[in-house]
Amino acid sequence: MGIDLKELENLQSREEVPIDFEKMETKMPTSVDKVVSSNVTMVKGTLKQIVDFPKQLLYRFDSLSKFYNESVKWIDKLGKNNILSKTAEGIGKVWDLLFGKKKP
Amino acid sequence: MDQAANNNQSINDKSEKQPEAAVFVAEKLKEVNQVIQESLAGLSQAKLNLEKMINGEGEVPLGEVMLEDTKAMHQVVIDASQQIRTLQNDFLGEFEKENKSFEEKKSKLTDKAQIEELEKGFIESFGGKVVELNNGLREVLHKITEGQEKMKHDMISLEIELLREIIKTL
Repeated sequence: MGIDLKELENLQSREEVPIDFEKMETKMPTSVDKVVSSNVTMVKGTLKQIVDFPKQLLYRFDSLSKFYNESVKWIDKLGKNNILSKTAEGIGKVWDLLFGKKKP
Repeated sequence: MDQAANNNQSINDKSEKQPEAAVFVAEKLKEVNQVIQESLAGLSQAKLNLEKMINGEGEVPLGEVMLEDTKAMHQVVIDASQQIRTLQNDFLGEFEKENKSFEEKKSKLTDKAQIEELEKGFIESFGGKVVELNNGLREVLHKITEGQEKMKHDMISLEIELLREIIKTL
């Protein structure tokens, strides 16, 4: 194992890439700018939470209202006895599924 | 003389080639302002919806407990909006002062290193103000959470009550 002369030649003939010092100097101070950006993200997060709370609450109340209204409509439409028979019918179907057809 | 001219040229190049501290800060400020405005609009919508519920325009009439809770929540939302506006005004006011002083100082400097140091300080100071703003917002969030927790609890009780009523009907 020795020095690869060809590679050495290549290295010697390789042109140096000029460093653009001007560009380097004009870059923003990354650490500071990252910290500030993350502070801004933090503010966004807090504001999102502030707005989300009443939204969630209203959404939940809306679901509750819908559920209540549907229940009232269902009770009114079918009547008490119908609901009972529908419930029995539902239970019967589950029974059938689990244990096969009920004996008459 | 030539050196001074080179320095000035370098400063001019810098302002043309890359975002200066003032530009960076202005962008971030715009982001903060925009998100504050969106949040205020969200809270305003929530306030209107709560008003509808209080005025009995919701789908279900509110029980006594829920009506009180909804009124309390409505007040919490109004207070939160007001506090956010105050925080926003304070933040913008302080930033304006800081920005003026920064521009004045910068206009007097010619040394590149000093300008960079000033820009760094300006960005850091802006970051500090954003943190202060966030601390203020965290307090608003805390208050809104307290109101929310009580309402959530009462809503669960209401749901249970509703289910009992339905079962009774059956």
